[in-house]
Amino acid sequence: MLLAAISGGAHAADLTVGANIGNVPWEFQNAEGQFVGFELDLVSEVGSRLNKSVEIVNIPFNGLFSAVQSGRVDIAVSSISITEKRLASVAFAQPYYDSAQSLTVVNGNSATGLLDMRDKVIGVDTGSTGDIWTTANRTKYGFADIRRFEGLALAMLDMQTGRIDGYISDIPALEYFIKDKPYFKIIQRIETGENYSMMFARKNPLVQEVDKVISELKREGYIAELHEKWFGTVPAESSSTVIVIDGYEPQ
Amino acid sequence: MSFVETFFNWDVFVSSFPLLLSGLRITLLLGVVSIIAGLVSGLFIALIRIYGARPLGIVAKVYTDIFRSIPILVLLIVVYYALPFVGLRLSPFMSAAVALTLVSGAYTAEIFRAGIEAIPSGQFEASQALGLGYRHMMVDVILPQAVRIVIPPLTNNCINVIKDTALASVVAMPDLLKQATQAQALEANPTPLIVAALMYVAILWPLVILVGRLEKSFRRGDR
Repeated sequence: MLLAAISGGAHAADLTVGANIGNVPWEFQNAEGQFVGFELDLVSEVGSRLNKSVEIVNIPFNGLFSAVQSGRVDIAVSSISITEKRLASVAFAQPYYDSAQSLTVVNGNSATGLLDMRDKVIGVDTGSTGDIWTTANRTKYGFADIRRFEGLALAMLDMQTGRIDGYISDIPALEYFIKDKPYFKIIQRIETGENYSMMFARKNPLVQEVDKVISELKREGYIAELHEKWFGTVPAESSSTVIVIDGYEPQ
Repeated sequence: MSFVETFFNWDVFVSSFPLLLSGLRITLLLGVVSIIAGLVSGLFIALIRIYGARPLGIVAKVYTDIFRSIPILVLLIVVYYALPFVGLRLSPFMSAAVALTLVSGAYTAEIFRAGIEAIPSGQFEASQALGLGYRHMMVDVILPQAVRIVIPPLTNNCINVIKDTALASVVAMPDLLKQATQAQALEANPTPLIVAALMYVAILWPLVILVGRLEKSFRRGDR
């Protein structure tokens, strides 16, 4: 009993899912204190199709990688992009969302795009694809400095204080975040050709099981419905939200 | 993936090492700045508390009490995220140095006070009987004896300050912990965290041993 109390908790359910709560609209806490969002809807549907109970654990984005590797969680969701480097250490199911980066500034800033960010300070999320892109393009655009935050809310707070001039992060989260916050504006979409999926430990047989369910859910149009529910728009026919990839093998 | 490949991955180590070294540099710089500023401010606060005019002494006491009660992380977040709304916008490094110094100063003041108060009153009386001025009495008689008493706890405090620099990673400061979490996310491998932990130990272990040695040798001197 005592041992269960010490080591258990996180493994009370069949599937423990790690998510960076606060990453709107993918996984966040609503006014009632419940964890909700696109990916949480998706992962709980996947769980029920596999006849497995699902428990959500709140883990910061950059902690999700070691969480799946150590077996602390079975699945990680948090609009995680599939990248070559990540594939060397972790596994992914087939993608279900095509994303891009974006540059956000405070309303009233005269900048119109990346070219106006020379000698400016850019904020990113630690270890995110926005971090990777900004670091790789730092000299090209002449950013003065890159500040790394643990999530969108703190970065946006720091932009209001004026310590950072722009924030580069995934466009869907920003579009959702600024919907009711007119003091921010997105001034540029940055095409990076990245796709989101669920992340697993390498060689975890769960990957294939979940992947099959995702194919099924795409065929039924369930994921497209989630897109409509959370973004208010129908996903493009050519997007990974719609296209089924049977037997997904990442490159 | 094997244990070694996961936690001691050589390729990940090699590619993340420069990032970790740059983090270590900032951690050490922040630690040294906060320790020195904390020592200087702590000594002044202790002197004011013991020898200052009464209202000043009360201010010093309130200061040491408050800053020993507030969690550094909370103080840091207030300094970094709240002060800008009243017009004081400090850089991440300055915010972290200010928060660490305020707290370290409070602890250092208490250590100095305890050290000075441990000097028998006969020493003060003897100095006065010899006609030494206040400055000479403190610099030549009291402080040299007090320093011996306070060095082990002060070294302990230095260790704590260096450990607390890791909190600065919450204000977007590229310190050792921040660089390690970033490298860990970029490589999707926990090796950088392990290396960072080893780096902290490598810096602090000698200090911890030093505290033990100092305590022993000062105790011997008492006999």
